[in-house]
Amino acid sequence: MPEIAVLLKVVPDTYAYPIIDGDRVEWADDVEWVRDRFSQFAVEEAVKTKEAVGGNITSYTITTVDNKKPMMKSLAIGVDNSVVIQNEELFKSDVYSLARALGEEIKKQNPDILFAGKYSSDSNNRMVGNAVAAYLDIPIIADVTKLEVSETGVVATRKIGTRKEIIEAEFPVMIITDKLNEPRYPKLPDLMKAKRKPMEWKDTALTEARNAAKVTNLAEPQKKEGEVVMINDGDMAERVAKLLELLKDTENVL
Amino acid sequence: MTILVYLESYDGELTGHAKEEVGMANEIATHTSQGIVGIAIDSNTSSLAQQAGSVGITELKLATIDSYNPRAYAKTIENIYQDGDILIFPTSTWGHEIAAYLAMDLEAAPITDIVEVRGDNKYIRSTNSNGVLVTVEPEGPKILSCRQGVFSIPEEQDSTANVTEIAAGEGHKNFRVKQVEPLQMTRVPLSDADIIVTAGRGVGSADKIPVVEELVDILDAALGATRAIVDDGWVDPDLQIGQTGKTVSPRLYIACGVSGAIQHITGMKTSDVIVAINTDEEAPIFDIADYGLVADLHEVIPEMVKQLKAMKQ
Repeated sequence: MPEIAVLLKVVPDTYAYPIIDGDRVEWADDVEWVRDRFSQFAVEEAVKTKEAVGGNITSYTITTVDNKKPMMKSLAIGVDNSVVIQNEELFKSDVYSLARALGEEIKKQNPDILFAGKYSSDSNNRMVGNAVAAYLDIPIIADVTKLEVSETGVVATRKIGTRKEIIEAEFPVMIITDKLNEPRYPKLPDLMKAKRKPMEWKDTALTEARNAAKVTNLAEPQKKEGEVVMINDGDMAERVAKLLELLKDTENVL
Repeated sequence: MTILVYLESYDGELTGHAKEEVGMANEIATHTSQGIVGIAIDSNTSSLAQQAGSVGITELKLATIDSYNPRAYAKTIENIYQDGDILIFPTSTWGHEIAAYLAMDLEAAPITDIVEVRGDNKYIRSTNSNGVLVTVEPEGPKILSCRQGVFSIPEEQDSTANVTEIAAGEGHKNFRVKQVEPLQMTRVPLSDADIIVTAGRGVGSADKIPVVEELVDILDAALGATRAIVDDGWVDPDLQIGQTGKTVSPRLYIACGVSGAIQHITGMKTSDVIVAINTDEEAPIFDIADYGLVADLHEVIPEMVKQLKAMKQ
C-alpha cells in the first residue's frame, strides 16, 4: 500500500484584508486561519487515493500560527498523521528553503505519491509543490484535473491551453492538484476522533531558512484612473446604440 | 551574462505566452544591458528560428526532445546556464515544472508570476489575492516567471534567429506523456480573445447562460465567468477569471451581472475598455468600468445582439 504525503497550507481567510506594515503583511488578530482552497483539493485527492488503493497519509504544514483546527479538519476526513513546523523565519523564507525543509521532513516518510495544491492565496508562488518534487528529484505532474491511481503509479489528465495532456508515471510522483474533486466537509464525530490522531508539532525544521527573495517594498494596487461613464438616459434601444457608438467610434474596439 | 528566455512551444509553435516572455526580457534588458538569448525545446523545431526571429530574438539555442519531460527540459537548459544569467519562464504548467528543477539544482529562490519589471533587479509580483504588490530584489541565481496577459508582445519583425543546436538532457524515466488530444473548443480561448464577455451571478441561473453566449458569439468573443457561477456549476471551470482563475487583458471586457469582487477584478482590471452591466448601481464593478449601464442584462443583451446584427449587415 502506498505511502501518501500531502502539503497542507494554512492561510488567512481570503476575505480578510491584508494590512501593509512597512515590508510586512500583517493580519488582524481575529482573522481566521483556514486550509487554503487548493490544499483542500490536494487533501481530498489524497483521501480518495487512500480509499481506492489503501495507504497511509501524512500532511505537512509550515505555519506561523498556533492553530490546530485546519490540520484537525484534514485528520477528520482521512489524513492519518500531521506534521507541523511552526516557525516564522522559515515561513517567511524563500521557495528553496521551504522546499528543502519540507523535502527533508517528507524523506522520513519516503512517500510513493505526493499531493500539493496549485498555489496558495497568500503567497501565490505557484511553485512550492513543484519545488518539493524537484528537491526530491521525482516527477511532477502539475495542474491535474483528473487522476487515476493504481498500486504502482498514476494516469493524470490536465488541460493546457487548447489541448488535453494525459501523463503516465510510476511512483514516486508529485501531483499538483487543480480543481479535480469536491472537497468533503468533516463530520463532527470525526472531528472528535481526529483529536486522537498523531500530530507532530515542532518549532524548528531539519534545515536552515534563508531568504534570497528579499522583499523591499509592499504597496496596494492602484485604482483605475478616470470616472465611469454611465449610459442611463433614454430607452434601452437608445442606451445600447450610445454604448455601441462609443465602443466603435471613440474606443475603436468593435 | 545573458538573459536566457525559455520560449515555450508545443508541436513546433511558440505560445503567445512565450512572446510575452520576450516582452518581459526586453524590459529587463533596458535596465541591465544584457543580451537576450532564446531557448526552445521541441519535437518539431523546423520553424522555431523564424518564429523566434519574428519577436526579435537574434540568438536561439535549440534542442530536440521527442516528448515533453520537464526534468529533461530543465537539464537541457542547465547545461547552457552560466553564473550571472537571468532565466525567464512563463507562469504556466510547463514553465513552472521546468523552473522548479532548475531552481532546486541551482539552489535559487525563484521569483514567480511577475507583473512588472522596475529597475535592474526589482521585480513586482502580486500576492494575497492580488491585494498586495510586492517588490522583490532576489539574490543569487535569478529564475523568473512572467504572468500571462501582462507584458506586451514585441512588434513583429521579418527576421530569423541564428540557431545553435544544443544537447538534450536526461529526463525522468518514470514520466511519460501518454496521449495529447485537442480540446473541443468552439470559441476562442480566453488567453487569445480580443473581446471577453463575462457572466456573473446576475445572469440568474445556469439555463440563462445562452443569453450571454449570444452576445459572445456575435462579437467572436470568449465567454468568461466569475468564481461564483463556476462554483455553482453553471459553466466550465476553465472559464473562470480572477484570483483562482485566469488573468486576462482583452481590448474589450463586458461584465454582465458581475458584482466586481476584488478576487474577480484583479483578474481583468488591465483590460483596455471595461463595460459593466448591472442592476445594482452600487456594484464595485462600476468603480473600475469605463462605461456602465444600470440595467437588467436580460434587456440589454438582446438589444445589443439585435443592433450588432444590424451593424454587421
